[in-house]
Amino acid sequence: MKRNLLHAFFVLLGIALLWTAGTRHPGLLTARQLHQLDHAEPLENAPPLLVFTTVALGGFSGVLSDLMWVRAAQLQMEGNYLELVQLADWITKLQPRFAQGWIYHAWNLAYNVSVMFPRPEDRWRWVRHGIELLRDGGLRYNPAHPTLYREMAWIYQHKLGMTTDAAHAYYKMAWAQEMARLFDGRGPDYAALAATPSTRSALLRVPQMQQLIEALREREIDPFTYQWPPAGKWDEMQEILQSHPGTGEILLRHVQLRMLMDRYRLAPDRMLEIEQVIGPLDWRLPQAHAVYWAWSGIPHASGWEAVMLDRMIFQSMAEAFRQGIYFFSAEEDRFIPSPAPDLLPYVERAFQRSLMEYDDDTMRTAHLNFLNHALVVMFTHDREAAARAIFEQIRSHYPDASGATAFQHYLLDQLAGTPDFVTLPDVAHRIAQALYFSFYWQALGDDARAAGYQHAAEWFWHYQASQDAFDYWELESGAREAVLNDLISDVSKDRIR
Amino acid sequence: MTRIFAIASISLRNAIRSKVVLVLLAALALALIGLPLTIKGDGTLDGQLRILLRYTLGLATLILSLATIWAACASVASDIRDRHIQLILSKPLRPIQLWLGKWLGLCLLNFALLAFCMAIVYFTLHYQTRSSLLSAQEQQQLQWEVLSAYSSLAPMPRDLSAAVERRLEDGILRGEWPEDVSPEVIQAHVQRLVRSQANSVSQGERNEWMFELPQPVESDDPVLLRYRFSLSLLDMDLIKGRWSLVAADGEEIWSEPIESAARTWHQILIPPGTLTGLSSCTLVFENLHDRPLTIVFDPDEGLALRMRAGSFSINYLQAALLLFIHLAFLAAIGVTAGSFFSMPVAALTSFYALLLLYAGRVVSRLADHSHGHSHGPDPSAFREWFEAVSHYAYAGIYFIIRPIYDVHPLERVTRAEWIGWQEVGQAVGLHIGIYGGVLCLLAIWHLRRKEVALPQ
Repeated sequence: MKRNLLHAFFVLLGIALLWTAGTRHPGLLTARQLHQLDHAEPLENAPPLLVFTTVALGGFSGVLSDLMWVRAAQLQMEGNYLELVQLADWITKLQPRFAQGWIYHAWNLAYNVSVMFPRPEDRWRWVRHGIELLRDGGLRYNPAHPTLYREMAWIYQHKLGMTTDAAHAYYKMAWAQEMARLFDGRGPDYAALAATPSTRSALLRVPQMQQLIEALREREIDPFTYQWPPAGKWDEMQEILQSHPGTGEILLRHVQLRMLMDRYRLAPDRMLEIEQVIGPLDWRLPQAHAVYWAWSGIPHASGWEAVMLDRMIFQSMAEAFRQGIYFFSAEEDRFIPSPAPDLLPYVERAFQRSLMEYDDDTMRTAHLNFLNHALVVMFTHDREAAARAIFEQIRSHYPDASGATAFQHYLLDQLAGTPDFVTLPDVAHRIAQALYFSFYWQALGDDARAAGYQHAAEWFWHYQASQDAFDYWELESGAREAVLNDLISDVSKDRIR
Repeated sequence: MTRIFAIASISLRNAIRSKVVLVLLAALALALIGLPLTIKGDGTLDGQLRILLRYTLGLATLILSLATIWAACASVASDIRDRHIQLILSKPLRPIQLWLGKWLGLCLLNFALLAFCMAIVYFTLHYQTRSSLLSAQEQQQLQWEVLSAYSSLAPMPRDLSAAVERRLEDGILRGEWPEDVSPEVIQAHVQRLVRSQANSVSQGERNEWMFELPQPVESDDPVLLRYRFSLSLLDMDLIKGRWSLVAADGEEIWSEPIESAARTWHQILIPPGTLTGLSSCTLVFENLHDRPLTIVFDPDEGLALRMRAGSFSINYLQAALLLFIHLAFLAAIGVTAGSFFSMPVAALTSFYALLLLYAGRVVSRLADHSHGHSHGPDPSAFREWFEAVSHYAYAGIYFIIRPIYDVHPLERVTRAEWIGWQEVGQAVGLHIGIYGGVLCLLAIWHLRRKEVALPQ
């Protein structure tokens, strides 16, 4: 009896001590955050299985993670990629605070594995795996690690935004399509989003909302999933939403807001702040997301990391200027990333901001390169006045680069140095190429660019050619024929006939 | 026989009562329920299913292996420690009956648990691929690529001896072969070189491989072409080429242009009916890449036709039997170790044996490489001696485990590779008949000599 009582006493004592320790926990966490002892949120919002494995396995989680890492490397060496996403997920989650693990595996999936697949849709799946690993895991558990932001921004800036991957056009289109589900046009309507109920309970308080949701569910459409808009039920959904004017729009905006925040982890407040400081961004472009993630990392960065993140912002802006418009020609079935000349003042502002902060030679060289490129873009988009203004800027800021050269010659030198012209052996070929582009853009319906390239051809003729050496009209006729041969639609052909 | 069964039932009861075994069984239940919920896959259905099979059953097997070793070591060692053995051995019972009874009890437990795990995963698999979830095309693709079993058919070997001889003689004339390298090493090197050349295709050229079909191909059976290649340059480009199949009469019966990356496995479906009625065919590859690049198919396994050999269910059953045989072998190790040592020593020894089995590939590399690699210009005598000893130690271990370590039934099921009854029979003979028999004899020999009734 006495022994049983003693047992009961110790059990009760144990419970009491556990309870006391539990009550101290929130206070300790608050103190931890208050004194910035740990940048990351405690892992209490993590899935139960993650908490269980990290706590239950203790130090063995590192050993297990190493074994899985060895297996992943072995499988990759053998060319078996099937299990890599799963292994990367487990490896990183066993040591969620080990940032280099997230970085390595995200890079591996997005870069090394993706290029092993010939089909663009398969490659895109692997690039997405890399993005999701960083965004949904790495940054979730290490929200104050600047390198994770830099890596995230780099995948958008380089893998999606640039042209080094043969499937880059597919990535750009797929990303633009995903983003187009979240807003109409180039980005969200921030004022409308601010007025949108952000929580489910707030949404349900909107009059008629309950009935609308029930009507959708009767047709097996769940508005509260990430599979939105529902596959194969788009027409039905539109019909139901239109039959509930006002309420339908609120529901649609709520779903878009939640997807923006929960699935893509984009905060509308921060998106607005970036646009207010840097300039308007087209959020269908990967460059805008590179800017977003670099911008998000800056408050946590210092020294070299801060410089790198800052550079990514103006580099992405410059890239958006270079290829910030996706030119679609339905008739020709062509997708052409094109320059966005309207972005010029905003990119220039981003450069000036960085130059003020870190005025070194590399930064100035990057700026000069950008101005040279902008000069060509403006001229070939039939904006000669803007091109002349850029030239004046180059003369005043970088006199060594321009020297005493006149505008015409400097421009034509820069144009001849662009990838479209650099391999051409003489002026006649450059004229023919400029005329080719002029007809090409005329056929695709971009008259400004057609006029810009025609001016370029004329300027080559006037300022660089020995005009007796060849017949300008013969070159023009040849260019027209070449474009006609390359076109597939009669509509386009009629535009230049 | 009755005595063996009596001991088996006691062994079974003790295993079920063991707290460690119970904890491991709880972990088993958690693995079967929890792991499928966390599986991500690569975003494709077949990836999801393969990972479900590989990892759920892999983890279940690992847990069962640990539980088996623990229970097996405890079955004899604990009896000796708790002096129950005195009671048992006072009965008219021979050591072999004691060993077999203990082992059989654990095998029965493993059989039940493994059958349960395999059944759960099998039904989960079929639930996830039920017809209401998939289109007819997806179902067929799944049937062909995952829920099937193929045997690999390699190309007919070519006689390269004349080419090897020629290359050797050329090398001698040019003075290419260093004098301090033995002729055997040079011969092996030249053989590898010539084989690689025979399996390479330069830009704009073609190469052919002959296949003899071992059995008639059913008209509705798909055939898969599996290949992997390396490049003469480090290049990330997709290589353009064209595969074709030519019948014995010279008629081209199938062709497909490809764009494939190097260093990864590729699989192409050759439509059902293409090879029906043929006894042989020639596979042709044309290198159509637009830049000068030579591609080299791995001479050993870079190229194979995969022919349907049986159903997924039968292959799954064969994999289950191989896993059961593996567990039975571990039980034999555990019971024998428990006869020799006290419980902790027996458990550690058995876990070490398990580790060696799982790390068989590492051991094989160590056995190959641990000798003859001197570090530095003048290795000390101690280092040389140490390297020689470690080489022979690893070579000895590898000699013992070589026939049994390289069995990966789950990987093979997930890759739709046919296992075959012959291999199951061989595993019974090797793992249970030979290795199990040797372990049993060792235990009997020791139990006959061991004084188990010492005063403590």
